[in-house]
Amino acid sequence: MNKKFVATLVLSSLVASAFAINAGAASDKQTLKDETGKVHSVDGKLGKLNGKTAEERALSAIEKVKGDFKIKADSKFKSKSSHKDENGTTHTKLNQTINGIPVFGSELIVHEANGDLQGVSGDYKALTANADKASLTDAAAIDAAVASTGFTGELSSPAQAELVYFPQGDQAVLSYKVNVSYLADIPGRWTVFVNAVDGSIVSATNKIESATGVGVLGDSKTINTTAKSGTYYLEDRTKYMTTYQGNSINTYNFNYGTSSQYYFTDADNYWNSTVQRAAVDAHYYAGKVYDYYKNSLGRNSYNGAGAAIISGVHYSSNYNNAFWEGTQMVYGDGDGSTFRALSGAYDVVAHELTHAVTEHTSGLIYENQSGALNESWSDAMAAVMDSADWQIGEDVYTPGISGDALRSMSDPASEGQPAHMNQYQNLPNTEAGDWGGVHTNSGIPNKAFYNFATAIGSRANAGKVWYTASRDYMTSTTNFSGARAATLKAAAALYGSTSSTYTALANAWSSVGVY
Amino acid sequence: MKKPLLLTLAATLAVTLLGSTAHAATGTGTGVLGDTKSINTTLKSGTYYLEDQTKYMYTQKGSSINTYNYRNGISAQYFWTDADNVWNTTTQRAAVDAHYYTGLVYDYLYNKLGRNSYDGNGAPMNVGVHYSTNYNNIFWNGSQLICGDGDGVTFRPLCGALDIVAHEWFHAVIDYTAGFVYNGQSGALSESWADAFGATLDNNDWLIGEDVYTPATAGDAVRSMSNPNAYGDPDHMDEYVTTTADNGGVHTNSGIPNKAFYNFATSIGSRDIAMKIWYIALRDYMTSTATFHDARLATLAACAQLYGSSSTYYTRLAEAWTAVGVL
Repeated sequence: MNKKFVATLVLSSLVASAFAINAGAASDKQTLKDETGKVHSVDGKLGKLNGKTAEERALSAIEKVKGDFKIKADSKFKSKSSHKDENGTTHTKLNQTINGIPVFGSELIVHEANGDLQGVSGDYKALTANADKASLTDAAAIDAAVASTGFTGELSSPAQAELVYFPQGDQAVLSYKVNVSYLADIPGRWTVFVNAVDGSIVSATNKIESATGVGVLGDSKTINTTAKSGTYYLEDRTKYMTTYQGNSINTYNFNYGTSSQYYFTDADNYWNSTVQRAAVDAHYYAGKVYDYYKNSLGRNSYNGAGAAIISGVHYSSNYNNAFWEGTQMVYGDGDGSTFRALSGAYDVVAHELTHAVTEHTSGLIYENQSGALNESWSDAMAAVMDSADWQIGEDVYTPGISGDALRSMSDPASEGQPAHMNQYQNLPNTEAGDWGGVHTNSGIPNKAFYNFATAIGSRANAGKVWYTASRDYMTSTTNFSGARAATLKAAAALYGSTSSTYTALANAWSSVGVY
Repeated sequence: MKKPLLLTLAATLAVTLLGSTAHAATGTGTGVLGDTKSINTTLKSGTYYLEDQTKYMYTQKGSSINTYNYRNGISAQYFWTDADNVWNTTTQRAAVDAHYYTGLVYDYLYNKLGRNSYDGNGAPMNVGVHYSTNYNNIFWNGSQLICGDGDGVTFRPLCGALDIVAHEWFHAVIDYTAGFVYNGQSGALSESWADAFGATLDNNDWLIGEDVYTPATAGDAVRSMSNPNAYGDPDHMDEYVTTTADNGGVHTNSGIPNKAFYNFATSIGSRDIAMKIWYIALRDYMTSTATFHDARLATLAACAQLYGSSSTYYTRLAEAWTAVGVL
């Protein structure tokens, strides 16, 4: 996307300036557009401006560039501010109006030095007005705006409504812009646009970040919830999969049992009670993992097709584990000494959800070398997302001991794992033998991942190679040697087999004795 | 050299204007981290107030820096007073830092950027501390800065960090200049410009909020401008996050322009010069819906205006944006 952007940008500015020369206009005129063809600025010695005031001169400047910005005949402008800088250049900011009503966000700045136009920059929007008269009163608009925030107390300053056009697509929607400010436990400073014809909410933005949940470690975070009949649920409907598959991220409560699950609800959407903490983190981190797979790896949920992500917390009592059950995530609370609530660790959540991804891609069988790879792939993606260190589970493991972790990818031996094939442990393929030591021998591919990511200086790129290998080049019985071959194929596909990334990857595997 | 003169002038003026009832004074305070600092206070009828009358805006139009106390409530504010001008009680610590750091913000705006207070016209700078209970945030509400105490786990009192106080005041500057819409790319620019200002004043690292964030964990922060990835934020357009949460990821995608600022400031070896360009771009070359691409163009225009388009700065700046994929 960015490479395309460069080419288009350079090309369009060249075309524009070449055209300007041919047309015999100011010879240094330069028009900068983005890939959509939208003009961002017109610069150069653009001629003399007429007018006594800065506004008059700025308006005459618009006449000179209206062809460049493709300014429509019904678009007028009025001065918003004007300022002469330290070098004598005057910058006059103009706001577009339609029918005398300002268009929100459509502004151009005229830059002039003593009447010589030097450039015009900004964001002109060519729009068609949906209406020219408000049907709603400003008082009704204020009521609708305040109601939309959910706040019912006294405002810290009186709400004011201003009639504007709000750009939506190529329409200028006649709206009241209402500022709603209040001080409360969760304060607000909203800008709400209310449709002046039908009273609907066109847009609402709060400038004060609202921390709506408290996590396992006592930290506050913003979580996405859904209100139904005046009660809030841990249901995140803000993702791509909601728009396209109708699915959401849902977090439930096992309530210390092992079968029935219950909804989490909250009256004020401030999730700060102790029992909610494990749920807040399970919900929040599931959203982050979804975002990472979607935005960085192009995968829409664990099955690649927008499956709902379900988590259940408070599973059983003192349960020291978390697992992917085949359809959902399940988290124990820990016994308080070996673990605290396991959803409190971003890497643990990422690890478990990656098991779901593995199940839907390579399907690595959970025994011996393929099982160790299954574990290792989960650890690797966890370290890509929770990228502050190379430890796994440090945030929830042994609350009484600081600095330790479940596993270390940089130094597997520190947590009792092998880091090289010559330390490989042949354990029995039984539950007692951890299915051939899947949580033990994972240290070897873990160290390979660490070697690779640090050599190329990017966990994100290393994760991309790992994910692509699992999706496209590995099967359910792939062993360590097969994983080396698969990741090399993925690296070749992504970066080429002559790239330094490819070489670094081969070295990373060789140094743990996997050939 | 001029400062003592201004201070004396301000003190004299205070006496002249208000008779013998108010005197500018210099007190000593203990901040959130237990450090001692010198603060400007005012003596009225034998009691000291957290009112700083030493700035140019006071001589110009009688505006001062005032720090108030929410007393853990959310509506009424009370004056801070002290009998001996030694502000060393535990409850005063958040107020001392809010007052002191706001003074540093005013000084930087006025002395380095030529801007008289956040509105450019000498508006008084008011701060309220101890807002609500365990409140993990600080915000500009359109007329004053409001600081929470934090819950002690995620944050200690947030005004104990110069970069955070500077960041929040800069949102007020943005309101009076480009007026960025707080959504999508213009929202991320709002966050990024505020971070850049924070890192220019609190210039011994590239972290944001490290002094007050997670008191039990050393070395971490809310964001890093040198390595946004360390806190899950993108540092290149390849990693741009498309989301509806957080007003379209304003605190996430800010990592990209943050890294551009870091690239530029480190390549020219001056946060002050980088900030000057960032400020002029904000004031003279950007509108409320500016995109990252517009920010590149605007900072280059500001750089050309200040240093010329054939200057080394101009080249370094273009490289800084290109390196984060903003072209």
